[in-house]
Amino acid sequence: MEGATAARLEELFADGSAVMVVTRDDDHNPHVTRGWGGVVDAENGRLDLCLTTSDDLMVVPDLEANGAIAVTVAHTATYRAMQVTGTVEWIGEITEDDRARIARHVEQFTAQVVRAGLPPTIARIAGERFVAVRIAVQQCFEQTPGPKAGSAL
Amino acid sequence: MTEPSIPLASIERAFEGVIPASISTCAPDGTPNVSYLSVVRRVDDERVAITNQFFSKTTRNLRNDPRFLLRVVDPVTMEQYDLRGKYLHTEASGPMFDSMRVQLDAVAAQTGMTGTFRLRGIDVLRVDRCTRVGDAPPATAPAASNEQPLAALGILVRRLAGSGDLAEATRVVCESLEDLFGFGHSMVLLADETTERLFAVAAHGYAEGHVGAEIAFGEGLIGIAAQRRQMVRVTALARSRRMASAVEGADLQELPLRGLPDAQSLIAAPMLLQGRLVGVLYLDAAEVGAFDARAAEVVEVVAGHLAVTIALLEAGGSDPARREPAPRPSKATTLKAVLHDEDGSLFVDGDYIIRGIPGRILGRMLTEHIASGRTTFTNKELRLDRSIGLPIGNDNLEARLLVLRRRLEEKACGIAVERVGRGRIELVLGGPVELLAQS
Repeated sequence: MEGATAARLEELFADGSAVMVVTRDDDHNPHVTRGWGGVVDAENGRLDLCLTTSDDLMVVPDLEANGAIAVTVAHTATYRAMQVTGTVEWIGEITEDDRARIARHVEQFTAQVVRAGLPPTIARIAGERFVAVRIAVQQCFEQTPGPKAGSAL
Repeated sequence: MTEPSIPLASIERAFEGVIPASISTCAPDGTPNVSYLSVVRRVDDERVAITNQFFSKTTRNLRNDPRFLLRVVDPVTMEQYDLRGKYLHTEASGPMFDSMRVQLDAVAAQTGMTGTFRLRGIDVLRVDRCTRVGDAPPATAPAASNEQPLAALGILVRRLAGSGDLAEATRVVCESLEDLFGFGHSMVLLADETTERLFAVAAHGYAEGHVGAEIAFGEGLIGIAAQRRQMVRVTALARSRRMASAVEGADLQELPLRGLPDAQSLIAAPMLLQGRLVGVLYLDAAEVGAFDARAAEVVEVVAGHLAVTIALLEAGGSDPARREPAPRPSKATTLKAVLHDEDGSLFVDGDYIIRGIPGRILGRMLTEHIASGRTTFTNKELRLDRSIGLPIGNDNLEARLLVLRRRLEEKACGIAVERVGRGRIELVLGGPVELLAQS
């Protein structure tokens, strides 16, 4: 992962951005959930992320079957956004560190959204059950609204 | 056992655009894709439509493999819903396209982004299945502010039918929108189709200074509603503004809002009668999501009734209700009025009062009063005086007089104008007056 792109991704996570995660089954049916507490490893081109599993029970079986994943990270105040595609290398239980990162992310995300006029009950969308994944990043794309949305970074 | 699909009509709030929806698709090589959407509109119980401003990966994926997964969120309960189905077709014209385009164009006009946010088409999607996300028990929504909108609407219409003149009709509408529906900020603007401008004749819930304000057709949210003759409804203006400003190269030249400066929710409903634009009924609120689809239906009906009422009042004239004479505005010293010929702006003792046609009407009455001592004037003579600049035909004279009357009341400058009978008005002065005409 290129340094500037990794830095931008880290910044988006640090600001409590909204993270949508999509997987697909072997028949190419998409399944979607939300992601929290992302950690970028620029040197090795990896992204560690916790996924809500109470949203869509099919996400984990998809990842176990084919590993294909896309993650869109969008800043809730500026709408600057990027998408990461890749393959999940590892799936596991979340640790106490993961749990702390999830809590911090949910708190920042909620604060951002509340500033935009929504009630704090938005935190409800985080769900209650999570799984940790390690993603080998293949490509990053611009996802900010505009003519360059979808172009590779 | 599989849960039954949830009817889309039962989750209407999730399509209000308060919380961004997302759409997930899959490329032919198996790469999944997820994008945020600016607008998802429920078409009926089987179809939704999404806007397509920039040809994107989502668009390409849907053309190759029509299957999609939409995630929408109810902004009140925060319940999430997944909608699965297939892309049907794209529309680049027609009523649904126009209706969705006007919303984007109105925000673009307000934020100075016209041209950047051009709607290329709307993708129509068939929803095969809608399910609630998560395994927690469903959240219950707080009770709506008015559970019986038809009954409340009936009361409003009855009150409006009893209005004797334009002043009363506009006041009744604004006050009833607040006491029956909780919509505390509203404005009635009438259209001058000759100059293609709107002018505010009534404003409720705002600080002073709104009556008399003018807006060109096509200018900002309200002007777009007038120009396109379509309702504009925005549920989260800050979100739309942020999305517009995120576009690369965006240079927002935002227009000031005409009502609440920090409004998040807005409705501008054209008042139409037999194809003629009578005006625009405008409501706003500082809260996100204040006007849902049901509120929009109410406002549309009220705007229609107000259009008919105004037309009937114009056609039949009206006798002003008998009432006690207005207290004479008192000023101990001579009132010094200045009229600027160029734009009809009129000042009293250095304070700006009004401009345009109402300013010229007052200037004409003051000139006559100073010359002859007259205080009573007729609509007919004002219509015949071409220097005032009233358009021939539908001249909105009653509305101009109402604007003048309300501005003088607001400014309490020692001058008032009263209706004293059908087609007759009286100039009421609190003291001697001088008028200086400046070109």
